[in-house]
Amino acid sequence: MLDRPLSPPPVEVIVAVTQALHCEARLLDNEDFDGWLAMLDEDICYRMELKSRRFRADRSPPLPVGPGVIFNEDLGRLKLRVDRLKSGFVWAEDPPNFIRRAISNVEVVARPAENEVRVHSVLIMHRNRIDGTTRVLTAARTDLWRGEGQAWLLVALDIVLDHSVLPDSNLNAFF
Amino acid sequence: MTKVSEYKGLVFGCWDANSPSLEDYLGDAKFFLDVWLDAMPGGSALLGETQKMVLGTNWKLPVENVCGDGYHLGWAHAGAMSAVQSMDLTGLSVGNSGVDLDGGLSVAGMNGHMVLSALDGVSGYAFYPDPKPILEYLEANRQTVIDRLGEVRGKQVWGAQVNITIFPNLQLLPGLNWFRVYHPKGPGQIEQWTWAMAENDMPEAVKTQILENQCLTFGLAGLFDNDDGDNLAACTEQSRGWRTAQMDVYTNMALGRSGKREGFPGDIAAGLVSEHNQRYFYRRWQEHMMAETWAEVPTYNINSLTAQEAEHA
Repeated sequence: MLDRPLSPPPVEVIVAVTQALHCEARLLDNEDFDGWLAMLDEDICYRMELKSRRFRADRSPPLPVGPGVIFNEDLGRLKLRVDRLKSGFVWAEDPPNFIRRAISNVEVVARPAENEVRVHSVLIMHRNRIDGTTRVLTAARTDLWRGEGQAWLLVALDIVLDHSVLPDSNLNAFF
Repeated sequence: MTKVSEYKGLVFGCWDANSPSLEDYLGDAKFFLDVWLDAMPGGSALLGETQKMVLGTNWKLPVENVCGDGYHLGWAHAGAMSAVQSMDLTGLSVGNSGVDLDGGLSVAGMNGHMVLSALDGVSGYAFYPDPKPILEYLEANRQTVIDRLGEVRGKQVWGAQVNITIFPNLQLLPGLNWFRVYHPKGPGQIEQWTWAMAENDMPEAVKTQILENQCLTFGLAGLFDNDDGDNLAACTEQSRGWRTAQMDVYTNMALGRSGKREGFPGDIAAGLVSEHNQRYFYRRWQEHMMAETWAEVPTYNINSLTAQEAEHA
């Protein structure tokens, strides 16, 4: 969807939403999953589709029931993933991986509704394992954030992972 | 590619002109393959994009993990199983607290191909959040499948959770509905390619649900798959240790407790908890590694269906 060419959002909105993105990354780095879940709207749509990589000249029709997903989560499913991580039985995360997320290229775009903004950003996730192995994943996010009172809530994320072959043994992490 | 052959839509290649025909190579494993490839008139197809990931593991470990290792479920996947509480496949719940040995079969002795099969005709879809549309599809079409494949497969196997391993590196799991090939990428590294699969006769809503569920459970962020990769990498890493490398692999669970089962091919151990299939898998690998030519690789279909038929005749 094309964002309408509205004037940029007020600078305090840009600051607040950018700070919310950084806060989100810090909460997840610290495995404060409950703090993170509290930043999500109850109708959250958290989505990462599998991407096609085709020859440019390839005009094949889209796949019959779609490409499939890596994540397609509502709040219930995100809570289920958090419950799994908290269960004490996820051996790949025990001892925990060190994860650091860097957020960049933040672009806050106005929406017709005053309390909503579209936010583009880039995320670099650095994961370090018990054996010292480091994996670096990069992704792009296109979000919808909604202002509710004093807080900005995350309503939708469309995440694009930049790896046609996942260079990691799991994705026990949120983007 | 020297030899390329097809079996009901699956295409296989081999560089050795002296290898057996695909029909002979697959042997009695076709009995189980047909439950997926030929149960319904429309056959089956893969869904969605290819899901690719790199794992730091020897290629044999993921094969072993799926070909026979029913007992890893309750421990390796305890986190997912405790979060998704509806899961209980013949007692393989968190901690493996109780296991029903009559609920399934470990089938091997078919040229190195192996099968784990539940026998209830529905358990493949037990893990689904909303199994109703799929169970309705199974009920509506069960008679068709019985007519095509007979009572044993139509009633007990079609719809049940079935793990099929075609030696060496192809696995397909009706029920969880994934199709997977492991590509070795050098010592201790593989690329794992996964697709969702569905029967072409399934309604689109069921196909959509299958793709969604396969991605949730055994996709790149799969609640179950994301447990296995790290375990397999750790097993590979440990086995490289100076002392560990001198030890034998212990795969003696349920040794000497297999036999013949009416209506099924293969050497069969009761239940999904056993190391019966792993033993046959490594035996086949050894047979290949020790052979100079294909002529030295034995062909065996233990308790073959043809022999069973001859006995009844």
